[in-house]
Amino acid sequence: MKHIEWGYLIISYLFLGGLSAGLFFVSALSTLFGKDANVRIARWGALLSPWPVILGSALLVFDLGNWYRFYKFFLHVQFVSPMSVGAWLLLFFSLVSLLYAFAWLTSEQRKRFSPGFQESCPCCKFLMLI
Amino acid sequence: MAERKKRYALVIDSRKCIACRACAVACRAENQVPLAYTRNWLNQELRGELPRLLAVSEPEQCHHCAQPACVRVCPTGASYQRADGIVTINDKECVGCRYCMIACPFDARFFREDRGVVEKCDLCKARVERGEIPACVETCPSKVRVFGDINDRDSKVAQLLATRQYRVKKSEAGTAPQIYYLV
Repeated sequence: MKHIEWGYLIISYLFLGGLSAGLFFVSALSTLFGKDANVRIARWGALLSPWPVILGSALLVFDLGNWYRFYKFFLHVQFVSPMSVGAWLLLFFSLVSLLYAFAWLTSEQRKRFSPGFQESCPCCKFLMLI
Repeated sequence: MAERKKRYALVIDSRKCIACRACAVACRAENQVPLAYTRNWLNQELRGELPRLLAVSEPEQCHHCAQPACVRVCPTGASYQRADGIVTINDKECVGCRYCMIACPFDARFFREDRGVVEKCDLCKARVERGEIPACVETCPSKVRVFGDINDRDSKVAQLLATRQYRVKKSEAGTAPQIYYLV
């Protein structure tokens, strides 16, 4: 039986990925079921959740033999390959958690971070609805 | 008439093996494998106890499975199986994630730290395309290895498989390995 060693990059990713998922989960739960007292938790969870997983994904990329070829993950969709499914899920979750964090910003902060964003623009409204 | 589909395989008569490791040397020379790695290897074990002791040596390499697990798990499609059954790697597509190494039941793959890609036996596909036989087969002094197309009934491998008893390793892994060991 062969022995597989996972380096510190993978170990850190597992922790960071779990941290993000936990933050997102807690935030979502307090948004859905929480009373007014939980708004702070929901907001902090939402604002913090994208960053650990993005850092963790970067660590995973640097664990590859040829890290500059990582874009090839997103040129193929191989449903039978758990690695491919995982890469797509990581991308999807990062984007969703970023959008979710954006949705929790106040309207002044939104204007500051993205000058192009207009509350009245239909595309942006649709974005906020999701 | 449509051309019959080729299916290359190796038949190994390990009782003939004298453990000289010429196959490993030939492979290294043919495929420029650095000393730290090897694409084929020898399993040696002692069976029984003195005075009835038996030393068994059995060459092994990538089994070029009919349902290769390594190809299944590859996220970029760098590992692929050719129409003639050879399982090989497209170097330019390999990102070096090493997932195939975990999937392989035979541990036949290794990670080239210097090139950042995974390598393994490709049955000397360049030689095979020229109509030659793999380097390990050609060099074997005691004719342990027989290479050929098992779908061709007149080939040596097909005749051996038709007339001799054989086994495959780890058939329980479900990958349908294509190295046949004569019993």
